[in-house]
Amino acid sequence: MTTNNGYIYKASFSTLDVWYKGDYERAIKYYFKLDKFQSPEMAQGEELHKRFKRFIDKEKKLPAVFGGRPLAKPFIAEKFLNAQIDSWLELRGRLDLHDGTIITDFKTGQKTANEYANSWQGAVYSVLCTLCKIPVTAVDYHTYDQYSKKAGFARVWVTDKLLEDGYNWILTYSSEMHDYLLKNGLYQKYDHLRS
Amino acid sequence: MIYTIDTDKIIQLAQEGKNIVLTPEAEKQLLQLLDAKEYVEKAIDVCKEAITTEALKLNPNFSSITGEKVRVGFRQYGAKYKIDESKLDEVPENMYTANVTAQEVDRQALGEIKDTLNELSLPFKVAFSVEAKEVEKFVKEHKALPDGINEIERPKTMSITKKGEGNDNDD
Repeated sequence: MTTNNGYIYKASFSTLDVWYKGDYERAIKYYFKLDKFQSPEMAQGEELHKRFKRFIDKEKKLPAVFGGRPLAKPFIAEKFLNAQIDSWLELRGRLDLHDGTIITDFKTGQKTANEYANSWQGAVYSVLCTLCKIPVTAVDYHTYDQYSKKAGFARVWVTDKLLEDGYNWILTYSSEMHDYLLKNGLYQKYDHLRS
Repeated sequence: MIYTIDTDKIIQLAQEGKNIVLTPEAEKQLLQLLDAKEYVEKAIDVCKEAITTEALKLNPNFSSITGEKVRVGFRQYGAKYKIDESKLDEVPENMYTANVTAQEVDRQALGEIKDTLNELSLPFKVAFSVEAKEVEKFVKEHKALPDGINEIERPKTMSITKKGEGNDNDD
């Protein structure tokens, strides 16, 4: 049974995914925001995200590079969500776009849409939306490789199995990391650094 | 036309098909299996075409859609990049390896090429392709394989095809 000793583990997909892949040191740095380094690629990605959001807010449709689909109303570009799962566990995330019942995530860089579709991100975000009572039936990934100037698209349908598997994945790796942080006194050492 | 897939029947056909080894009449079972395979494959091809049309309508950048038990999407095979030989001098050397093939080289030329490559300390491989018809002519005449030519023990796989489709003389 996982306890909290007064500390709540604030789970996010990006940190959990790094932990899940076995890069524990980096996961801890992510979690406590110990590494403030931003590469030029990360800065470029962020800038592109801002451009996408500005376009979406103004034009009420996806950018042409992503197919230009008109958005269902209401829609929200950039929505921060958090949900309490247990006394020791909170799940949080930022949706790039939610319209109708579709979550859209914009990705830049060389990773393909299929690679994102194969990740646990869709499941985690679907769980988060469901816990926040936001209807979701699909997770769309729109990728843009700013080097080759190519775009990609992949969709993952949200099924009961996806939600169940996603929920279990969140619980498993959150409890693992939370227990580690507690046992090694890392909350006491670094938790004040989280904003 | 209505085509019903009865999976119990399919299994029964598969089991009865083996009887073709003992009686020619058993080929009816095999034909039914082959027909079933053909219809299913055609149906899947029609489905793939329809999915492609709908997927590209949904998004021209379409890559894949994942459901609970099925995933459909485009796959690409083969080398991703190729060299523009007219600009070879500009391509960084660490981005390619060149493999040179000399074609239809006779024995003397082969010897000279090997010597030259050895002098240049360049690793090389020689691939020989045997002229099967010439070997078979020799065997017919001499009742034995020529020295230096050996028959390969090739693995065998069972194949079931309709007569007239594919190569009936595959050996």
